Amino acid sequence: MQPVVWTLDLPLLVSLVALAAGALSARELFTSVALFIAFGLLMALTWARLGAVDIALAEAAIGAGLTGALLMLTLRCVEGTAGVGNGRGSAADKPLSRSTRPFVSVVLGCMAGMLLILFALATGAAVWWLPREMAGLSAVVETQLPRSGVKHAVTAVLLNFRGYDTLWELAVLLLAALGVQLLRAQRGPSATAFLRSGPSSDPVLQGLIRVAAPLIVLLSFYLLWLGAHAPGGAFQGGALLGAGSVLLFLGAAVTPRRTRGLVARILVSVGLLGFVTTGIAAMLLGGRFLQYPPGWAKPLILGIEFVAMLSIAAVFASLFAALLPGEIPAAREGDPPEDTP
Amino acid sequence: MTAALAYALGGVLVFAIALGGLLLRHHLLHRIIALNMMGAAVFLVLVAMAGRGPEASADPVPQAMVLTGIVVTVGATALALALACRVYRETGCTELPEDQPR
Repeated sequence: MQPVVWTLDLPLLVSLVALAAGALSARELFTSVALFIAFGLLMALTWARLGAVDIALAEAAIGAGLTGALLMLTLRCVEGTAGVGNGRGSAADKPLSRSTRPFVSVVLGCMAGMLLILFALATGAAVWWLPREMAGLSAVVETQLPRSGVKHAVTAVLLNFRGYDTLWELAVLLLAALGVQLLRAQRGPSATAFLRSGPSSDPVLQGLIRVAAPLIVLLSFYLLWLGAHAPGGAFQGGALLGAGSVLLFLGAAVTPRRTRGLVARILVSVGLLGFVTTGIAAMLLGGRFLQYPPGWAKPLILGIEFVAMLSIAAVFASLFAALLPGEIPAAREGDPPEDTP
Repeated sequence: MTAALAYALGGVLVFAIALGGLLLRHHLLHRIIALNMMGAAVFLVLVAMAGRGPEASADPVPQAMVLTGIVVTVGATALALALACRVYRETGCTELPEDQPR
């Protein structure tokens, strides 16, 4: 690993720590969310600095983009500006440090601070004293890479060597989408009305969508294809496509209502279904679960990645749509070109 | 001092700060942001520690794990945000009952 380049690493590290502290100590919630988005962007830079380009691509789309959009929607919900059913005032929003016993809370706060400093020192020391050299798994992955069907090590690990992780990840995403749908708002003005009254009338946004939406679709499929031999793949492509669909919602190019229905439900679940079907088919052909037959690894991996990308994008879009204020849809189609007007 | 070590220590610091935010802030949105940051810090430590090897390129296995983790995190965050929204709708509060002054 390279030595520290102080002119690059020090500003990055200091900004990361400062943004974390700022986001969590800000008085205004909006400031917190904005600083958190900046934190996500700097995390993406950090991943690139550490040589983890795959993670950097995903973090830029997810950590900074999608999570920020979800936080902004929730901020709108809890500040009671739109679509709130029966908010009974916000008396509980007052800062709690001014409770009945300020002295107790100050003492408790100091104790917590001291414990945290102790914790940071102990963990930091543990990290510091670890052996400076270690083997890792790079060599093992390198030797097995020709058998995996793809040329990029991270994709090989994700979809071949540790396919179980990815399989269950898709299951978790499906569960999250289901859970968010179950918790959605039952009353209030419809999400479509909210969108039409709000940002969608902005001509700049409409112009941006016309230019950006096709590019986002093109780029996400390019990332998917690239994953076989370079940083990229289903996660990055899916994250980009999902984040792009947020833009389509905001511009009212796609109404959340339209996303209800069979096609959307199929898209949300097709990744997991495709993955499990492939695994069982491999068993029927005489192998183990998810053990690709020799020579079939690359087409199978690309196929799974394709359906996984559609599912990831559809889940992200449905998470966003379900958090929109007011009446909420089921899910949307993962393939924006069909939806663009 | 290698860059990997510096970033691992930075990750520890961010984790401690986020843990402090989780303990000391009461608004649910602050807590969700703090949890998210704790996750990001753990990922940072994980990848940075894996970068201590002799090779120039980062170890692909932790990278794949973190990639999976980031995608799972956004799902968990969305569920937490939906729960927070629902809590606000049902009770009109943005804090949990045990955090409120009596």
